[in-house]
Amino acid sequence: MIILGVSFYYHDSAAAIIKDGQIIAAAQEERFTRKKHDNRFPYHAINYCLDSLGIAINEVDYIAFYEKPIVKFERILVQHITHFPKSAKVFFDTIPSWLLEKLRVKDIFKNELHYHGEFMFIPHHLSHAAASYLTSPFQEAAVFTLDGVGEWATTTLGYAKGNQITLEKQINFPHSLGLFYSAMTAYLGFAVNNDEYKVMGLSAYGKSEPLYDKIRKLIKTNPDGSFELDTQYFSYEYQEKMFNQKLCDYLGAPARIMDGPMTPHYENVAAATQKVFEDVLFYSLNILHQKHPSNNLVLSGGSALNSLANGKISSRTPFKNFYITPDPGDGGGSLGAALYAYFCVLNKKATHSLLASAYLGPGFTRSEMKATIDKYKLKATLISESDKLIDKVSGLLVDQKVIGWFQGRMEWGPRALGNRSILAAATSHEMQDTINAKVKHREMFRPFAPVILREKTHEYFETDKNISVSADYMLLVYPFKKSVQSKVPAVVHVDGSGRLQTIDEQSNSLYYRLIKAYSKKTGIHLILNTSFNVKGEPIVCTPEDAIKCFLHTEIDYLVLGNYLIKK
Amino acid sequence: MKTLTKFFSYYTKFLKKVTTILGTFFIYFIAIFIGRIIYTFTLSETSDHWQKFHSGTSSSKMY
Repeated sequence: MIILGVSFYYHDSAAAIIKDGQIIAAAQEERFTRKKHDNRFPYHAINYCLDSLGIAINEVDYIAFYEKPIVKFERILVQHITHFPKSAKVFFDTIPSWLLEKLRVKDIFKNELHYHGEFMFIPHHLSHAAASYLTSPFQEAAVFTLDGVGEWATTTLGYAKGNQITLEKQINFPHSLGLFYSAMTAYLGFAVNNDEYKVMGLSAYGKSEPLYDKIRKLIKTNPDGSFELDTQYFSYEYQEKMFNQKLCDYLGAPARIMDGPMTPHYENVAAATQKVFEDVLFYSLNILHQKHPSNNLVLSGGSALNSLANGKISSRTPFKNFYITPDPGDGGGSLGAALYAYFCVLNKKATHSLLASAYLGPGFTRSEMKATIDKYKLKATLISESDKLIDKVSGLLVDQKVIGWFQGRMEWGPRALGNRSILAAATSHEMQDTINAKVKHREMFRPFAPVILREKTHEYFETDKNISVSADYMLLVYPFKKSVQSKVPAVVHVDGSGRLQTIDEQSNSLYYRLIKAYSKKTGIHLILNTSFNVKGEPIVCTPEDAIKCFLHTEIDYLVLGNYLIKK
Repeated sequence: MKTLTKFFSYYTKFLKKVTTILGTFFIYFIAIFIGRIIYTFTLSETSDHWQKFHSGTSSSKMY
């Protein structure tokens, strides 16, 4: 039984393929087209998934789409009707694409790929819930999903056991914690659906107190754990713009223009926004626990990428364990839809299987890498033995060199987890500036992240007793212990926190052994890991992408499989 | 005579286009009008508090 899961036409198009319940491959379209958050039909991702199994499209038993298009269209029509005439412009801008493309998912597969098999349409938030629960280590769990908006729902809660996921309740558009966060992201001069993580980074510089009460009043929480937005300040129901002049007047300052100066006011807005988001989220999660007093929580939806909030789940809710899938957003919905179709609709197996690895994207052979190196006429040293490669690269890290690290299969989800990463030592404060100047060219308020040997995490961080597996996917922020902050200043954020990735030998042996070798040389058990890309581009996918990025930046060394290339 | 025929031919085409555009807007406004009435009576209360999760029809359907 082969099921292809797909998500497209909103943001982060992606495809995932499973065979007899086992996850074979998954990738986001942006990595192939090199267009960040590409939302077009995922031809390349689909072809990659089919190639992974060596099959043609008509050998797929089902295509599982990650939402119900007609229900979503209904919501959009009602939205326009309610806000007529303010919504007229957006109506005429968006309706043609709905009539020509978004409502014709089946036709597109038939016309473009000549697919004649079966389809399944899984509700948006069920796809999210399945993406997390059906890849989690749990056999039962309370379920909470949270994003901007799916069809109607922006938030859902429920319970899952065995291979049954039951979402019981939902909060409907326009009341959305995700859209609230996105609107504040837009107010702060950042791009919606892209730069929300910048607000998280910026929040550490501000104080929440001056604006907390004002921003908290924008969201009313009800005794049943639901919430409502004061929509008079937001315009996303009828405009492309997320907020209106009323919000600017209410917050006492105009919105920040993109790339404009960053003032304490905006830093305080970011801090208060983050705190309000966390307070409302934890309020709802506590009510969920009252309803379903499980030890386990699975969280999903785009808002589950809020790593600052994720790091506080154990301390602010009664849940003892929690899990978030590597890609809880819309891209991950493709995998969720496929898994839900297999385990829950077709009811093929009694229990689901754990996600064995987050490395589900394309991998390349040594000869393919060599061919690319030759194409660019680069001098490369082949170090066939992995121990020698590790010894060499760990030595370069000790020497404060910046390394482009390209290994194995590409990561699934938005984070670089050690197969498409830029690595460096975290022991000097200057390393942040060096990487920013040499490679990333990004805002100075954004921190760099550490990757740490899992068994050493408690020595460096004030973590929960049981660290969630989701820490392997760089989805949690924890405070550094004060005693170690001066040892690794390049990855300590201004508030003393770090968005860590934990690593063990089982999940990525080469990567683990590299950090282990580095720790033997230095006594430091972590290094800096940032995504292998430049600002505004997706993470590299192919050896050619890696070489192009290497040549256009000042990365000192590129490690392409077993090839070491010096600038 | 020829010029007059040509003029009327263009005039007819022009009228057709205008009618089409006006017709589209007319349908739009009628839809908005009817939709608002339906919305007022059926959906205006749905956005507050938790709603029952809407799982749609069978998974083979787009709705």
